[in-house]
Amino acid sequence: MKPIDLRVEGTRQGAMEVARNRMIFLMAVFTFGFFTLAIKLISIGVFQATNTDYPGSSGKNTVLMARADIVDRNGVVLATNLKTPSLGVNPYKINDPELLSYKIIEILPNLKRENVLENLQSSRRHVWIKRKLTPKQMFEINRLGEPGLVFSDAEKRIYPHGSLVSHVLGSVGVDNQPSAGVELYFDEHLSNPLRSEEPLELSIDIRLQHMLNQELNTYVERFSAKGGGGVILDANTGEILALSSLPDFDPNEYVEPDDPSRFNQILQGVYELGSGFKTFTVALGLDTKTVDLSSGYDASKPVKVARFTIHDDHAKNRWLNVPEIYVYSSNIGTLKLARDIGVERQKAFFDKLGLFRKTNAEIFEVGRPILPSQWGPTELVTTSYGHGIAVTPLHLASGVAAMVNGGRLNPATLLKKDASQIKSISSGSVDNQVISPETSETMRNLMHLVVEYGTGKSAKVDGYVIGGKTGTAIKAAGGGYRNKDVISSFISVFPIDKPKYIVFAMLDEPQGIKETLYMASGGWTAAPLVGNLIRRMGPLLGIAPTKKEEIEYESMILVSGTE
Amino acid sequence: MIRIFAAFAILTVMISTASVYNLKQATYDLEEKKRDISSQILKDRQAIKVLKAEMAYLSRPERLERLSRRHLVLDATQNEQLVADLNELTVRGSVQMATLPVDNFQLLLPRQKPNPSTFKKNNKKQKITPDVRLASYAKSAEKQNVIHKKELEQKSLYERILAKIGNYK
Repeated sequence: MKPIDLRVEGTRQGAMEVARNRMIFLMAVFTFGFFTLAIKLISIGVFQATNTDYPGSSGKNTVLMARADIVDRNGVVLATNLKTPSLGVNPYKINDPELLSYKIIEILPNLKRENVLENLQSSRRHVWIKRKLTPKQMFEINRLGEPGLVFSDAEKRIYPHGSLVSHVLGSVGVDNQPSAGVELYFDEHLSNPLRSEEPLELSIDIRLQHMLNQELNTYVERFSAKGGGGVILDANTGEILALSSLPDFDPNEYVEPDDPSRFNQILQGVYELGSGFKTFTVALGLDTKTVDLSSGYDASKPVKVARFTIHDDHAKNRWLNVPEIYVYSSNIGTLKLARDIGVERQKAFFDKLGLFRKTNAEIFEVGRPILPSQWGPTELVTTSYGHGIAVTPLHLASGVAAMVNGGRLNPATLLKKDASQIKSISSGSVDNQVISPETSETMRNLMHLVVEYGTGKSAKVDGYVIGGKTGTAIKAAGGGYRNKDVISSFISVFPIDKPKYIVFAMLDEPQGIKETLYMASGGWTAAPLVGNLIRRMGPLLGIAPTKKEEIEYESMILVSGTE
Repeated sequence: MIRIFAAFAILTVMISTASVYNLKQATYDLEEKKRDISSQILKDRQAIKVLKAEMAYLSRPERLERLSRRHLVLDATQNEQLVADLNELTVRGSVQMATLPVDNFQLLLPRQKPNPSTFKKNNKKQKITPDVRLASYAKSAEKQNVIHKKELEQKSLYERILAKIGNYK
């Protein structure tokens, strides 16, 4: 094709020229514009194609879970949040309320049909029928295919284990606001949306918790006790592996805050725990070299202290050496030992053991010890065998742990300790050393003797060497003591040659039965409980049976048939 | 000249329009996909949470105990079933291990692994009782195994000896 050459002459030529120039300018501008566009396109397409990092791709979803999970030391879920649908209805869209109410009742049997029908015939636009359905119920309701029924989501805190760990976990209210337990104490972590993926790891082992709970239930029932409590402690790290208190409650249901079943006897309750304290007195006596094992005291006659006369429950009516005082749980011997130790040293020791302050357990409700208002000669004597001073059972358990684990007091905790924390404990600073390792070794042997020959015989377990100390405390009431009502307890260490676990159990007001010759003391009620528990938990924890070796200080004890 | 230029410009416009559209569409698709995946993840996480809670609920120790008592012939482990030390299994004084632990030898030549092909033949000869079923593996897993074995075989004996000596030092 031949290009046509247009030529304009004269005055018009100038105008043409201008137009052409403008055109070229315009074209240049457009060309430039499109070139930039093209270059930009190429650069986006070629060079930035691999960059897929758009917001949300690294996505932690913070909307999903409002509250973090709580798991046990093996990762078993103890508390979690689930989306639970609530069922509402728009009554204007319902054709046959009568029929529908029957169908709903079939799926949700704990509703009353009259109420449902009333809701379905209500004149409002939206009525709640039931809050917090299970997924299965939701499926069934959906299957009815009724357009008037609407679901809306709400978060619900679920405790799959029910009442098993109730006293540790506490509970939450309707809008997931915590009301007790670790739920309340660690609320800052649990309700922090940034940490909702990070479960709170407790030191509890659900399997041990179950065993403890079961044994407690059995024994509370057997002795018709008012209640009971127990705790299993790691002797070396202070971790609480199981903690149970009866009666307990189901955190899935609403329980009044002041309901008696909410009371945690191990962490909250303070009791005069009785003979368990003799462990402290004897350990202090040996550690300060006030006495040695071969020395002893005359325990043949009751002693008068202020207005009380103090007897021995398992009276031997003779001179007793230190192992015998401990093994036969002699009040007279212990108080004479305490007198030799003196008030100042005893007070300082109790303070070092943490008996004067609250425990470190991560719960706000922990009980404050009740101490004697003054510490005179009477208090010196009574506290030496665990009367006149009221502490929580956890105080006693962690104190005894320090007596046997080489003398280091590790504060009890509900949180799982990781490997580095455990390492730093074993490498250990000196400031938590309460008694010398040698005294601790002696105390282990004495506690073993109690189970072999003394008041704790019924805790004996074939194959395991365990140590322990019974405690039977008369309950204080209104300034005096009610002689009949006792708190029977047993604190045990196992295995005694290399302590790993501290097991404590107590029964509140147990009643003697025929098999126990109508006795309700710690040796008859709580000791067999702990024995049973150790028999069951040993294999679970992989603790191999130990052959019975020669028992230390066995020869020092004069065994007689009377018990 | 100007026509070529104009044609080029028009072409550029068309191409760029098409590519912009294409890009936009692709991005949109990706966004869509991402949203889908995100909501799927959300759903899955929710489902996982429900399943975890259900698992914790179904494996309550109390329930397991009840079930095992009803359906199993086994009882709870007793402590005498555990053995801490070989000596406890016999009444003889002290027990010597029949074979010394490997570490006692200064140098131990690694043995050739049995050839997988001969292995298979032997396996086929074995009569399989109808009660016993061989577990079937996914093909990819099998492939991986084969590759792994090949890698092992490729190492020369000398190399393996060196590796073994290296272990001792």
